[in-house]
Amino acid sequence: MELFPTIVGEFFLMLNRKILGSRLSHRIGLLVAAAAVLFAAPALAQPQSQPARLYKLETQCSLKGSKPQACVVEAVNEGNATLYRHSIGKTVETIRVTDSPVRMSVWVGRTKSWKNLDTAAARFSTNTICFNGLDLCVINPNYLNSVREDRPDATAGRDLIKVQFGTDGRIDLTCYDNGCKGVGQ
Amino acid sequence: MKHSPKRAITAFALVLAGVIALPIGAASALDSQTLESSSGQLIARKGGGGSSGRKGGGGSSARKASGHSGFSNAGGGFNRGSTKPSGGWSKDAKVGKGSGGPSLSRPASTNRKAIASPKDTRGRDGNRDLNRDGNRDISRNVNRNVNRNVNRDISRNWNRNFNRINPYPGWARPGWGVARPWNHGWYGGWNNPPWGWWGARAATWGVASLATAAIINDAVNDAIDDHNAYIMVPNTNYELLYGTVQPSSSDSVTFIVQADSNEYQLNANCNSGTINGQDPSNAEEAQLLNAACQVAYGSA
Repeated sequence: MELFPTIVGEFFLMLNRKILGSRLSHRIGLLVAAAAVLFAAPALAQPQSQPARLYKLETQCSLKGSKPQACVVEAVNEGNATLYRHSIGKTVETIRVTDSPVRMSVWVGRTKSWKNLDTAAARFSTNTICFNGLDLCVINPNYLNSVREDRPDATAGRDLIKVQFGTDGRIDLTCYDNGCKGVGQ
Repeated sequence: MKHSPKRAITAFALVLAGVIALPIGAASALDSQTLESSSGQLIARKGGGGSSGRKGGGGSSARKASGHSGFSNAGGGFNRGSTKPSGGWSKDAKVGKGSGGPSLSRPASTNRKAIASPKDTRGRDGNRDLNRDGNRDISRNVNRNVNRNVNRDISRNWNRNFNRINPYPGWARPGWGVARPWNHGWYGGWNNPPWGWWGARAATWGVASLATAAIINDAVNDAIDDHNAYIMVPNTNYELLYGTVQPSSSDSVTFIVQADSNEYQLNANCNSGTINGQDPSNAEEAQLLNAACQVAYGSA
């Protein structure tokens, strides 16, 4: 689509040089403007990627292994990522998850940037997901229900899943249940 | 060579028409690509003639037709978690006060004892026949009566025409008690049998008690561990597809049950104690009602 206005523009300029000063140039200009509007319309009509809230969940969280606290999880789709905003009292921890490949990162308010996670883990039987060891743990059955339905082959019969991310943010290692002994310690 | 303005306009109009047509052509190309891709997926899905569930030999719909590399799940068990599960999103994780909060440790309750729930699945004929033969002499009279009643009731008002429901929703997994996504009704607000409707009728049926919540919960836990879609409802021949249990109002549920090798979709009112709008006609139906209501609303 970006090519089109350039080609038309060059053609118009070439044409304009030859017939510059004629009254027709004005008509052609109008024609091109109309065409541009015609082409711009579908692009304008396309839905922009607005954040869309998936759910708001009242649940429990814990920070750095501390005792559980009431918290609210807000899941929002934003572009090609899903953001999980965990509000624990006055603290807000936001995790961003993208697919293909799976990447997870945490928002660092001090630097105003996303930092790749080192590990993530989930235990289905306790409906718990933890990010970066025990830095942030949350009971989020919604996330696990979605994963369970989306990945039936990978998750059937599994209870514990851990992933370890590389420095590039991609998964270096996935383990399940007994295979996780000693992983991510 | 002379170029008249008229010619120039004509040439421009031609180019413009061509360019206007271009996106349509491109869209067609895209469409045909999409079509090719979808038909490929359709073939892949049809390949092997497998069912959509896990029992079929045709494999999962996620697999592609181009063979099995063994690395299809190499991306790990996680994803964005943004696909709405069939049960919907929960607004409130009903976590008990004594739950201990988020934990990656295996809960103690998973080290439970096995209960009298069938470990076999349909298709494992060896075990099934053995069990059946072994119990036949002992429970001949009881079974005969149960079957007779079941058959009569099935033919009366049980519905066999319904849309297939996924027996493996996201919540039907370890931790299902908290994972049940419904946000209304008795869920989390009801603890244990007996129900209000039970006592008065129990004497008529000659049955002392219903299966406890613990027995039903353990049956579901065992079925999940064994990848079975159903639990045997205690003291009956009914097989309840626990993953199909869904609340239909504040105190009612719908579910699918297997009996006599057929599946039936029923609805039950846990408060008034009815199945398909009628009082249970025997103790077995009452047990079925009790089990479905426990799966939907009971503590677990």
